[in-house]
Amino acid sequence: MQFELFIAIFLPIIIGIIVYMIKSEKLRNILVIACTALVMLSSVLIVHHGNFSLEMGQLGSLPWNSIIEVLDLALGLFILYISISLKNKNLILLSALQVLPMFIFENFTGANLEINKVIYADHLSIIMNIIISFVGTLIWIFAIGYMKDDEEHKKVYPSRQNRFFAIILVFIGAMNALVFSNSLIWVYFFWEITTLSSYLLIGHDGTEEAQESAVRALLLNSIGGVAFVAAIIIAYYQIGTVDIQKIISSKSSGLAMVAIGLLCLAAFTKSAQIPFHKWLLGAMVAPTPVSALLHSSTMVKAGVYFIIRLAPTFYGTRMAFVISLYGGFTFVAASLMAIGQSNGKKILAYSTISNLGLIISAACIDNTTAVAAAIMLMIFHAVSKALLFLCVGTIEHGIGSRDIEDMRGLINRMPFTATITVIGLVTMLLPPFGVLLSKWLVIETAAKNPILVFMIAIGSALTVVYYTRWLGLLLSRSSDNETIKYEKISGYIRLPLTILSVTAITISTFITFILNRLIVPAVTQYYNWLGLVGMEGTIEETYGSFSLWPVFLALGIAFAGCYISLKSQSGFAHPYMPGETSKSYKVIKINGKEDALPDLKVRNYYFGGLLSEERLTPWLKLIATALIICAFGVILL
Amino acid sequence: MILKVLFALICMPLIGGLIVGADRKLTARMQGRFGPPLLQPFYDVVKLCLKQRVSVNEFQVLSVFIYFASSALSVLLLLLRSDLLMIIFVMSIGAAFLVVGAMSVRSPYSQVGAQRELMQMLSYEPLLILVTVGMYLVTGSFKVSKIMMRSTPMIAELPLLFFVMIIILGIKMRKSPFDISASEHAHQEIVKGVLTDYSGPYLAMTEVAHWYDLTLLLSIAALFFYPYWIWGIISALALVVVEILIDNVSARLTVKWMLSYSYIVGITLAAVNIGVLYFVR
Repeated sequence: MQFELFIAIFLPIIIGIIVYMIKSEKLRNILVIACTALVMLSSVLIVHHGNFSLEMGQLGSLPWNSIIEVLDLALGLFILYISISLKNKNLILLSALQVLPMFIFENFTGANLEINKVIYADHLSIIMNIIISFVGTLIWIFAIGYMKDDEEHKKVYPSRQNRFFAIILVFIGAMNALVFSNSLIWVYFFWEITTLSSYLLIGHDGTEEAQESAVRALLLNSIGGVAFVAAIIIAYYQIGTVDIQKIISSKSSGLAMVAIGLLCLAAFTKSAQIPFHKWLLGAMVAPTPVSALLHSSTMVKAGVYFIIRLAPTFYGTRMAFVISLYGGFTFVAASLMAIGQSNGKKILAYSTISNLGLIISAACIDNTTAVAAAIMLMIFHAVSKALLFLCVGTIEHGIGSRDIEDMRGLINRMPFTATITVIGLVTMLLPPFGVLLSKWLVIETAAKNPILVFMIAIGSALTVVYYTRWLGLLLSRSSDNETIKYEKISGYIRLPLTILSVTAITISTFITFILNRLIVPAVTQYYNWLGLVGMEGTIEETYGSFSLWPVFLALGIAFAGCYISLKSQSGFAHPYMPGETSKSYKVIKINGKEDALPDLKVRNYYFGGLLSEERLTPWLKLIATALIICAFGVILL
Repeated sequence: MILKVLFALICMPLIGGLIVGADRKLTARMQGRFGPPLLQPFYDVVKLCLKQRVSVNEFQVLSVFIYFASSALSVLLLLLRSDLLMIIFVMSIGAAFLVVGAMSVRSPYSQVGAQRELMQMLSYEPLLILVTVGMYLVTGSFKVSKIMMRSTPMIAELPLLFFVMIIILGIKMRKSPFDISASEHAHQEIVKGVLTDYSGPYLAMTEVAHWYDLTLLLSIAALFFYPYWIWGIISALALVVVEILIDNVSARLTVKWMLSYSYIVGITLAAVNIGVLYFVR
């Protein structure tokens, strides 16, 4: 197993370092592609092998634990150095609050941080590893095509692509390491690497806006970092170990629960939950592959992964109840904000926040089926969201805008990209695809909690609105539209988009297989009971069931009917517009005064005044903060 | 099984068509007109089917086929006693594609209609989900087969949710004051709104899909009275009469009004009912 792990974790890091040093574009592309293939292969081998745990011995004469401690200190000092050079007082304070306590704790308290099995891979880690290794690496490939265009657009010279690729490679390595680590200290180290990488990536373009967003990301994630450090120290003194598996099996209470709560808080910042969501919205200034990475397979998924990982420790407690409400609130609040946006990337960003809220909520519902739904949503959301981000990036390069109003009739101008975007939207929006199926499971399991189910019901109706209208805009066509048959885009962009869209559809058709093979064992390992089975295309749970085949069959019949009907259709008509397009109506005379009629213009409802970000955000933040405080409050009660 | 499939796919829309015919007749009488024959909706559909088959673009055709298929499937799933929440989700595929079809046309009437239809969906969907949640809280299952094992009618415990059904039915069937996204008669400011650019056989398909939706919602309303299914049918028909009455005494209102009405009145009714259930148990 060491070998596969080496490829999953160290290979991207090593190649990242090599890529940073070489300038040749060709060589870099070859290295990145080779690394992609190997990382994917390692992930397949790891799935095939199944659960395992490893003791990490020594590298030469140095124990791994010490290496990580030293690297951790170096990383902390580096972030402190960045904070000082930015002259940002809050940031300096937060960085110092991480480095100093950690340094003192590790070196002067005589704490024994050695643990037996530092590497622990269960089904949850393996699922995360698949997501990271497939979605993340496809984004590398996309980046090869995209960054070349991007630098031409932005006239970047000399090329800074070596820096960019180095960071996204290291990012994936660190994520893989994070999901396999079983020591809080190790997780913290890789957690901080992802924070640093996202800071560097968001600021990659070096503009003022990019810099500002990067600092905001670092600042908000540092809050999580401080919470993490505090949690490690409290956990060590209360539970006596930093071994995550032991922490999960110990029945925590009192102060130990505070440690768990702090870890959840750290996860909220990483997953950009309200009130910490601002950094993810700012992150969209970065080149598209960065947004895709942050939103789908890395960074934000680290947060929800960690909550699902820790969920058994507080399953069924009052804290879990409050956190599930908090997640539900984020779900509905972020969906509400998404309605008011016309910027495609912002819609996707809010949708990520809301889906992550739903994952967190589901992981904390007092029902094991909901935990399975959380894992399911995590998988399907990663694939579809990565796809959608890559599409928006491609569209932006194609039409020079990311506003969905400008995407009206995109199917005529960019048929390939628009079709892929439609697939992405449909898999996010409609049954029988995985995201909706997970939502169905969450609603059925949340039904016992009236407040939560109200929020989820409203939130999912809001989701339908902002995705459906985007879908409709893309597919607009009239018979007089000029259409392009073949869209010219780089193979590096075409390939990942194709693979991801095919994956998005196929994983939904094989959902019962994924459920039985990966998700059910991931849940039953920590909870004794799970009222959920998938068989023959039907997902059965205690209160209901969802059969996929009738829905696929109906969709198939609809497609076939449409095909036959179109083949023998007499032709295309013009839309009904009695006179609106006529030029002679453009000027009218009222009381002898000539007045020009405004041009015909149709836009989506965005509820500008009602749903303005400036007006709503403070209130949403207030409620969310109150809920977080409540979650800590109920521990101490 | 085959009988059930045939009943769902053929008889249910016929019942829906008859109800629509009765609606037109009753409406005419309320307005002092004689009204069309009871079978007029069927004549209309047959006539539309014989018309030339034209659409504005391909996506419109795809949308109308998906709308039809998902509405038919949701009725079928109800008769096969599947999961209620799943049925609602399947119905929502069709609703979403009706909007997509309208948005694919570059006509202001379709576009405005589509935007408004989205708001209609936003108004009734949460309510419909909450109705199923209420049924779950009473029966312990989302499955119609389990719900139909009860010996006492749910209406005793879910009276307010039955009122919520009136709101849902009004919005989903686009009856005044909720005929916001598609007006009954094509001579108003949005022409036929979301349906403006459908014609011929495709328009006939939306009409039949509408009948499926109508019977689906009425069947859910009738479920409240199970095992007294005769009472269920009577109350479902009574619901239709109430809708017609409201339709005739009210005029179209705005989207904003609809949203606040369904969210304030509908959600409150559902909240009170579900809250009482939750705390009594």
